[in-house]
Amino acid sequence: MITYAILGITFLYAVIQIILYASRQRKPLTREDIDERLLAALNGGDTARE
Amino acid sequence: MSKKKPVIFRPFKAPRYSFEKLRICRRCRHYTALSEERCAHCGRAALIPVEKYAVSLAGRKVQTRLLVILLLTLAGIYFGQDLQQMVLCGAGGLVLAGLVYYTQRKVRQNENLYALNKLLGRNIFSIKEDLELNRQEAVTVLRENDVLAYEKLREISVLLRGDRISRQRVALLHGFQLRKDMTLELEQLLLKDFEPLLAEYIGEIARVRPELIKDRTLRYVKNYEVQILEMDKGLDIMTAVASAAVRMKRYALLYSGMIGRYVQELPKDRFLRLSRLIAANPYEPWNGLDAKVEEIRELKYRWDPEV
Repeated sequence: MITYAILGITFLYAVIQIILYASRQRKPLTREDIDERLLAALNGGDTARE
Repeated sequence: MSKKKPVIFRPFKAPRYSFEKLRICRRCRHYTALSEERCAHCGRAALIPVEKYAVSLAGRKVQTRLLVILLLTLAGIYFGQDLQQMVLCGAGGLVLAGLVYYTQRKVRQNENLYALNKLLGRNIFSIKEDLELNRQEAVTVLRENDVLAYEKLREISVLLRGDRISRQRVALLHGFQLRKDMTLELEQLLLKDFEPLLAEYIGEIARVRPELIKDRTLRYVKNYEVQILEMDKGLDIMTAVASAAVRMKRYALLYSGMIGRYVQELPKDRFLRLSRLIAANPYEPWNGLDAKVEEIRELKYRWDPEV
């Protein structure tokens, strides 16, 4: 019985991980996004100078 | 007599993404934008680019998740009451691990970027502090080695783009003799308000590297034209900028009014260029520049067969 419970937990854990990966993949990040966010955070939203 | 110092800068190419300039120490987790070999905090040669560090963090996370599934599978096998339960649990666990592994491989690139985003987001305050320390370091070497100070500020300015660093860089550049072969910048140094040293630098750049005079610089010069003309060499600066602007039809059209005010001062080759530009595009809206060029041709180059 314990084996099946553990297998169930493993299944749930794996499904949650796959759903998390899939949801992130649906709204992928780009290097441009990260660059923009970093510059905005460092320069108080002023990234006009390129 | 010019007091400017002849200098040689190390070659510098700004990275495509600003975070490519940022490195983290694997030992003490401090950040730096400078190209030093060793970490300024712990002194160890453990600096790596943040992107590489984020990839290793993402890799560790991926491995941990797989390991959890495998450990749960092993626990299931251990608690199995008969062979059938053990085999079922083992096979089920392996299938699930295989599925997660397959998904991880498919999303790895995105996960790496998420890890980088998280790393930078979580540590933004320490990044700010460390970059400020980098800036202070550049300022401290200013007295002994102004070239090194400039190079450090140039590196930091990839990430910190405020007027403060630009002002310091312009002030340092003011003391250097500019040459065509130098790695020079202009658009990155433009300030929000008027600065005579910057105006002088723009004038020098217009003479040494006219290709660096672009839209934003022309807008800056146009906005502060009155203040520039009040300077000792104001007219020379404006003439040099106008000469640089006529290299492109777009700029000649956009800033025709400003160019028109200095057309009389333009060197012959620049005047020729503008004159040919207008002759090749007679139906463009030159905003009176064509008439002015015609007038100057009559006045100055009437007997010149070239013009």
